[in-house]
Amino acid sequence: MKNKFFSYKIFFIILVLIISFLLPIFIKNIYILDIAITVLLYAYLGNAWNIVGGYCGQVSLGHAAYYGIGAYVSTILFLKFGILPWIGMIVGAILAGFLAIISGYPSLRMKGPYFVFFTIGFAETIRILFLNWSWVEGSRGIIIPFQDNPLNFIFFSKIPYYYIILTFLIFGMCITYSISRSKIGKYSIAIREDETMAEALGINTALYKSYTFAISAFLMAIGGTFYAQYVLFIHPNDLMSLNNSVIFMLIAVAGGKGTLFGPLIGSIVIMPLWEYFRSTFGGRFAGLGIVFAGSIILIIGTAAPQGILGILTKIRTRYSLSSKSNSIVREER
Amino acid sequence: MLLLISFSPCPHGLNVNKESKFIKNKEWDRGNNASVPSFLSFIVNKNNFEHRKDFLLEKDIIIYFKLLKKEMREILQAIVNGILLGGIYSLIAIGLSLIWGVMRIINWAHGAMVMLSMYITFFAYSMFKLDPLLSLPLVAVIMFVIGYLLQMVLVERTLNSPWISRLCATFGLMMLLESLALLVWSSNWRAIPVTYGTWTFCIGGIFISFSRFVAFSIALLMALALHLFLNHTESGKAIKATAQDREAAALMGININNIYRITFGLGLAATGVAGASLMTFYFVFPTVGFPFALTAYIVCVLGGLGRLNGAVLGGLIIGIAQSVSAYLISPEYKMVVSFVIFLAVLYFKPGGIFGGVSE
Repeated sequence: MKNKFFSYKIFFIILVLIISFLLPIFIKNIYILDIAITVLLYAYLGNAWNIVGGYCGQVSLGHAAYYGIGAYVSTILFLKFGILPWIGMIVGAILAGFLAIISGYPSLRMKGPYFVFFTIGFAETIRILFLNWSWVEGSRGIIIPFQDNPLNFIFFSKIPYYYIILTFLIFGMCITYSISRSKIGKYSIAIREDETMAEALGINTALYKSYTFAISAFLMAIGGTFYAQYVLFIHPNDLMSLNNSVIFMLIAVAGGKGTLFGPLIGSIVIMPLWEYFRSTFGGRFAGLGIVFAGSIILIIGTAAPQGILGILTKIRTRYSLSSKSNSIVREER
Repeated sequence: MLLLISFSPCPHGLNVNKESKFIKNKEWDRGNNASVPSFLSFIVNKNNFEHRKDFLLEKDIIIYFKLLKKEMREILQAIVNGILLGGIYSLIAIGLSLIWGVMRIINWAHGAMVMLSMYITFFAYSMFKLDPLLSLPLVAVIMFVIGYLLQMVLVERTLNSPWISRLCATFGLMMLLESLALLVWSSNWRAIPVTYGTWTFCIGGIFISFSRFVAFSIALLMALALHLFLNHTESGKAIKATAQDREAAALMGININNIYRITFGLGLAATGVAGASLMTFYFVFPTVGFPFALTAYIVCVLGGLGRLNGAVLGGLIIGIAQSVSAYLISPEYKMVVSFVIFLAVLYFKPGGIFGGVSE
């Protein structure tokens, strides 16, 4: 029974992969391709958030700081030192990972809401520092000159960007998958379920929280570099605002936090709708997109804490219960 | 004690003709030169101060002022400003602290509630010409009803689920309210032109804004009133009992759900008082609340959960720290300073400055 289910899942994954690789061939409209890239980017970022927020249960509303640091480090290295963004991306990611460990060390000792406060405060502090730091152009933002060259990570067409972010997403999801199967992942889940119990069992909770935090920040910073090279303009308020952190959380939570495909599904459902609201009602009814996002968070908080995947699982369980197969086993789970 | 109170029309307590003399002398421009970094401009200001003295001060006070050093007075002014600012922070934090302390629920929509009560105050003025201080009880009652209904409709559903779903529910509510305000009332900044908005006391050369002083006194009065309510009335004692032990209180025949609704309503009523008194000198726009709320969370942690005196004292500490750091370093970094304080408190004394149990 389990084997059959597994093969069904693999078939589904291969189907999604083929569709996503062939998609740019059928899409001729650049706007729709842009939306597809946005969906993949936010799925990637939501996935990075999910490692610490979903698996480890440490809800962070400060991930935008690492996102911004990734963008700023690669851009500064590119414009001031002439180092290619491909290398700058890795440097920024490693830097963000270290920063996550340093900032995480005191913060990960806090629990629940205190941790959320700390992450918000940390991200806001970083944002204010960047906003007033004249060496990185402060509140003017940085414009990256358009020199299209694969080495510069700048392309004329949108299709390379699509494949790059798709590769990043697959890479990120592979990392999440391997983490969830490894010791770190199991320990993280133990920490999420009951931190005191995990500590009593001899798990060094602070250490494993730092690990997941660092991996998450590392992936986040890579996403930041992609954003910088795609949009070619970076500004502290665009990258590091609290709004961004909330979107990362929203995508993971809406899809189903602590699951491999949750962020992807969340992004596929939310980002096109968000984009639609923004493009259709942007001028006259500014804020309607956020009304929509806010109501989604509200509904998920009150009615479906497990997200879209949770609802699907519930439906499937009910269906299998009605067909009277393995009902006892399912119920026990 | 030399005490001089002047009700002058301009906000800095300067007489109009004296200020015009100021502009003629061009001293004002040089002192606030925008190209000088703010930390350096403090030094520039100090050098220019000798020339300024006769414009700045009333004749009588100069004598008194020779006793006080200039730097001392500037620091003192910053501290007084900080105390007044802290009054506003504690005003906002009291409602949050009540909800947090009794129900163990963090109301993430607190900033939106501040915004909502400020808009109610504004519309009470623009429709019925009600002064903010007169409409204050009205706003408190409206916010109480809103809080009661919110608890009944929204928050009660999430009481038994993990805290992240409460975070989602109240955070979503905040986003919803802020963007709805943007949609309906636009992003324009609105203010109420009250007559006492520019009144300034001048006590011994230190300027005190009248409306901020009123807000500060309202904060103290409200904390006192809530303290009396919680300790000397039956429903107040029921609230305290629920805060101490939910199950035991239920066994003693206290209707927990009703107590929670009343508490949430009371918390929002306190927020309504805060919003109404903020409107006497501040302006309202859809995202006005969040920075205030962020500071209020810090104040709550600083003062300890659910402690009214802690909320007041924490507000004063944060206010003074922000004001003094804005004077010594730069106004942009005041949030950074409060976060450093917050972090230090969480690290060294997680139960707040009065001690006690942390969550």
